[in-house]
Amino acid sequence: MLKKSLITLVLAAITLFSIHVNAQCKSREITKGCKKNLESYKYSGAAVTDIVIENKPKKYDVEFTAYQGQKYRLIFCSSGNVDGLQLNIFDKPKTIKSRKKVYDNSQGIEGNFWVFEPAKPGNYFVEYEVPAANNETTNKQACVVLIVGYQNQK
Amino acid sequence: MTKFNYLLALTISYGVLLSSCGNDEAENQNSTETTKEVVEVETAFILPSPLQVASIFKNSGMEYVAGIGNDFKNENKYTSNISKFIALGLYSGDLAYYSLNKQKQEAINCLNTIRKISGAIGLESVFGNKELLESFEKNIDNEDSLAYVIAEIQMELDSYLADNEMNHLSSVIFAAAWIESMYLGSKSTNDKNKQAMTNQLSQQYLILGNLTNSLHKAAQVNAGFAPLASEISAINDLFNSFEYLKNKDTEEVTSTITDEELAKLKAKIEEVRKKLVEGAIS
Repeated sequence: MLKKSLITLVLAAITLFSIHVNAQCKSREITKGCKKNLESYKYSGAAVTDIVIENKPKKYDVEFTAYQGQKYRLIFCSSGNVDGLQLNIFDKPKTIKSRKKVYDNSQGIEGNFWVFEPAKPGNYFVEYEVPAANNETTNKQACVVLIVGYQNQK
Repeated sequence: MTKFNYLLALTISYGVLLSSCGNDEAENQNSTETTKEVVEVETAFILPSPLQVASIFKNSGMEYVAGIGNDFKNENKYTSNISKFIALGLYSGDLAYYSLNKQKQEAINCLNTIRKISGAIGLESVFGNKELLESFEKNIDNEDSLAYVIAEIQMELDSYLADNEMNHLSSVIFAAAWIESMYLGSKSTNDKNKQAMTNQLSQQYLILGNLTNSLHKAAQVNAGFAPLASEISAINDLFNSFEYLKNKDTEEVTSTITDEELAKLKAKIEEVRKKLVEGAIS
């Protein structure tokens, strides 16, 4: 009896664990769906961000390096729709007061990607501004993958 | 008995579901009392790919010099898992170098070496991917198409590591590839490309802060990566000691590396690369 109870407990635990695992980010699946947006750009790297929408607004930063002589395409892929998600690019980390916004949603985000030609080489910070949940928020968790593609400038 | 078992399982599942529903309810109540306070989440970062670093040098006039990549015979020296991950990075740097310089046979040999190493550290599903390998062979004569295939392999590797909670290994593999690319770049500098190559070598400090932090995190997961973290950290310290970067945190970097600083940087890269190639960091 004990053995059977243990087996059942293990099965129950596996079921619950599977539910938990499924809720996590699956980078490969998400990336596969939107890598075509790289077009003629070559893959540089990607960051997976597990976004949890709670009762306070949140800011997530993803940093990447832009080199002299290259231009970039930033592609945003998400496992679910995040209402009111604002995307900005800054030239410095959030700890530095003189940080300036160099790009935002209002400058156009077409088909979930941006072409970014930095004025100078350096480290840039893509900020995801996630609003707080309200009574109409249905999707409280999403996985955002930012893919960076590069192209050498001639 | 069976009913008991299922009841037990159902009771546990129901309890968990109830507790999670309870949390949702609490969240909904809290959401009506939204504050303006913004929660700042820790910054993540994206490291460039070995191919991207090599292509920066190639675009600056890097010319091919035969025999300076890591010898394929060295593969036997890498016996520990730590040294295999480092070797994977070294050969990834070489693969980019050979491919961008149209060295067909060297690129094939290099990919085969990478496949052998990756098979021993659980990455055969990435580097043994039949479709990608066929694509590699098919595009071997066209360096631009080949670069896309290598970029695709990199994407597969990154996704695999992220999905299997092995992100820390990305920075280990990249660190070794970066050292190799810096070494190949510095060895491929000549009178013709000196200015452009020097500019590219000098801007590599940009990734070192993040790379160092990332390697220290990798060392927390596996203490065996601590020596690599300290070697990269020492290179970061060396860059930070250079005059042209002294105000980099507050002002735009407008000057460039001096010949003396460049010589110190090249010597340090060569020293670290020697240790990695010999499997002395493992």
